[in-house]
Amino acid sequence: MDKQQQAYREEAYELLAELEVSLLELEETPDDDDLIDQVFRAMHTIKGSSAMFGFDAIANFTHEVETVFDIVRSGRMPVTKELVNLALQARDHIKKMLDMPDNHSNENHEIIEKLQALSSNKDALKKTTNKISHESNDIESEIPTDTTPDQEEASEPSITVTYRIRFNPHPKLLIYGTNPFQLIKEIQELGDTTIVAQTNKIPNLSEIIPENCYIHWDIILTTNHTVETIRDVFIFIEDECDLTVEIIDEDGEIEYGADYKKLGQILIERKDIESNLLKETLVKQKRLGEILVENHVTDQGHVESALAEQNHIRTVREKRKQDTSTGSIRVDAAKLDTLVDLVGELVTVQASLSQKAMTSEDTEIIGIAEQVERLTADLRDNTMSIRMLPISTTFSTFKRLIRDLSDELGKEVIMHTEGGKTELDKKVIERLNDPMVHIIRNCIDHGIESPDVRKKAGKPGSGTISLVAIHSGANVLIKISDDGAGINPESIRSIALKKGIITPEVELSETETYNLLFAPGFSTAKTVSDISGRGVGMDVVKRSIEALRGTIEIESEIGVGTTMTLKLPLTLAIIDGLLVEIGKEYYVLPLSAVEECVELTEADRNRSKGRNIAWVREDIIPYVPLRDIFQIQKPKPLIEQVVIVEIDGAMIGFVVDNIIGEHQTVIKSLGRVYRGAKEFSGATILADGSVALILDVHRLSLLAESLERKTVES
Amino acid sequence: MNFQMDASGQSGTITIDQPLTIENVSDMKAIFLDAYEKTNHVNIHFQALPDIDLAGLQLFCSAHRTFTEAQKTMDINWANASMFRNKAKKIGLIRHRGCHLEKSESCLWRQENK
Repeated sequence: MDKQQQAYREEAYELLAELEVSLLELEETPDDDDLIDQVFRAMHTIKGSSAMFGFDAIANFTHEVETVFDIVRSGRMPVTKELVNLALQARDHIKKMLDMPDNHSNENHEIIEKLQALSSNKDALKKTTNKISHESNDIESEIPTDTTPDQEEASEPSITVTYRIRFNPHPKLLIYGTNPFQLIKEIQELGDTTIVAQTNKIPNLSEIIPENCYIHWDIILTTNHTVETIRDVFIFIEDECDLTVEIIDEDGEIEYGADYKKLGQILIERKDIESNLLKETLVKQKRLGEILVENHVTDQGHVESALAEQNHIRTVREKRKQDTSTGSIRVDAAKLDTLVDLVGELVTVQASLSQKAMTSEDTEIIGIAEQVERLTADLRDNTMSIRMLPISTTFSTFKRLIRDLSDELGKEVIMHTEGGKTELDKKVIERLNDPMVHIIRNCIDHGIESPDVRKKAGKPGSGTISLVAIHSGANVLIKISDDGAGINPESIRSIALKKGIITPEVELSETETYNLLFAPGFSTAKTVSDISGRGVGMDVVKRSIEALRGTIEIESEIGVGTTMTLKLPLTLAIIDGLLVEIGKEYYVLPLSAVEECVELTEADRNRSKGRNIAWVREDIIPYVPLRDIFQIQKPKPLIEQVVIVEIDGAMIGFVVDNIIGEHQTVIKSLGRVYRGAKEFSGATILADGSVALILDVHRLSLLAESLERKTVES
Repeated sequence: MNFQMDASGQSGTITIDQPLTIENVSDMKAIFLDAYEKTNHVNIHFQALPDIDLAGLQLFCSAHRTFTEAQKTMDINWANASMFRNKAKKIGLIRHRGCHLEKSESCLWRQENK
């Protein structure tokens, strides 16, 4: 496939993802014209680019769907659940066609026929309620909208200008049949707008003539259209209104930065207040807007409008500054991976250089090495940040999953998200998708009750699933919560007993009981459904999260709901590690898991009477002697070190000979020969060129546990 | 579209079930005035609101302001009012602060009150 076609596919996939989000939002707010426009534009762009790159089947199919949304856009057809369903199916079909290696895929006539039937159904079409609608309404809806964005842009001047439009209609405007909504919409179509309607002239009930127009508008418009084009919008009503259009900002004013005029300046310039009154008022200490309103110099509406203008211009200037200084390019993800690998190599070489420089005692070389160290650190941070993506990219895909699954199961579920801007490494996000899908499926299938059951329990008929992401040091916490039935620890215990996962004498805390859900083959579902409950899954979920060097925890309350918390590292490429030594070999433990380090002397060992436990401030902490696990024969030092880490809420120690210190660990995967060594999650190269293995503390604790059990049994 | 006093006799409810457009704003004004005469507290319940235009929106503003000035209250049940909210947003009525008459900060168009 040539590069252009690849670029087309990537862009189309992105548009389809946006389209899905827009359609789901539209289902919730069917009257939102902006969303209808977004859906139409996405369809229009997919159609245009598909035709351009020879994907005719996709272009033809999308054209049919776009046609229906053109009818919706013109206000002649309402947005219904059925329409959204069909549009989502159409979106899925376009994606399927894109997935095909060639572009000779079949059109899905069934979806098109259903859409056409829906759009030709007279009952579905909106009846015009406003008989006195603006003349141009009907004209606009009949104009073919097949001009491409490129064609539209060709006729526009390239300079972006911000205008202040003051539109003050005469009282009889509405009676003469003008629809201000249409005028405002036409202005909005010209560019970015901030619209403030002024209500100060609306009289009280006893005085109002309800057919008269009392509202007037201040509109701030940033556009590359001319004043004439703006005035043309009002051409049919120029005798029925007072209209001023002034330029207040334009390209080239970037030297002033993002800051814009002060509120008082704007009000004086607009002749809403006089400068001497402003000066008198400024003597007082309150916020200017409040003071002006309190002193009846102007009303709240005008202040609000001026503030809106200030805000609009600031935003425009910020955007302009960003556009001129940054911009963006599309880069192949594989190239980014290579870049990260190379930076990893550089970090290793730089560590080696620093070590050599320190031993050389040559101050010039030490200085250069320090410079290289600083630059490498900056390069590393910048490179890692390039691969960071907001978690919202994955959250948005779950909205569809929740919608479809809840429909399938006859449940009502609302999705709530928070912290969508939290960033994670692209690879973590990609590998997080499957475990999260499984957890969400479980929430809907087992957690959220049916509307009837919920209402009987005094809950709202609709359940809620919350996806919340928050930063926590070098990790990100993702909390997936439902307000469903909760998990019954007794049921878990009885199933675990039945399946032989635990024996009757075992006493478990609540957390330990919930952790049984992660045992292979465990399932609390009474029936097997297509959604979940096949007894495979949660163990796979846990393994997938652990493969990302993350952890998963469950909290639940019967009748209230369940929260699963995933703790994930920000990145998989470079971690902060703790370098330790055992018998002249080096190992790295992830620093984020380390709680503290304590000494282990002969006296401590005697105190524990042969058991592998350490006393830390009156707490008993079991430890794993890594020397024994790795069968290292060399003599151990008199004083060993215990590195205490937290695993699943419990403290466990790992005994090593020496602690070297913190280490920037560039993670390298182990070769095929070491695939079976599950206790190591990778390796890293040290400054002197030697290799240190990275310990998987979780698996090591499991291994130690099973070895201990075998010893007891024998 | 009608106004009814609640059983308690302390408040009344205006139920809206048809478009609030220029054709029927006069009828609506009469209903608002009736409610204003009879009660100190009125609830607005949108059973259905197929459409609302500028005349309808500004009549609501006038009614709300009139009630507030007279120390009376007018509460809107926003449950079925997505059309009302969207149209107000589109025409630029939604704002951070209410007008100078709204001492109680209960302005119909305040973002927080939606």
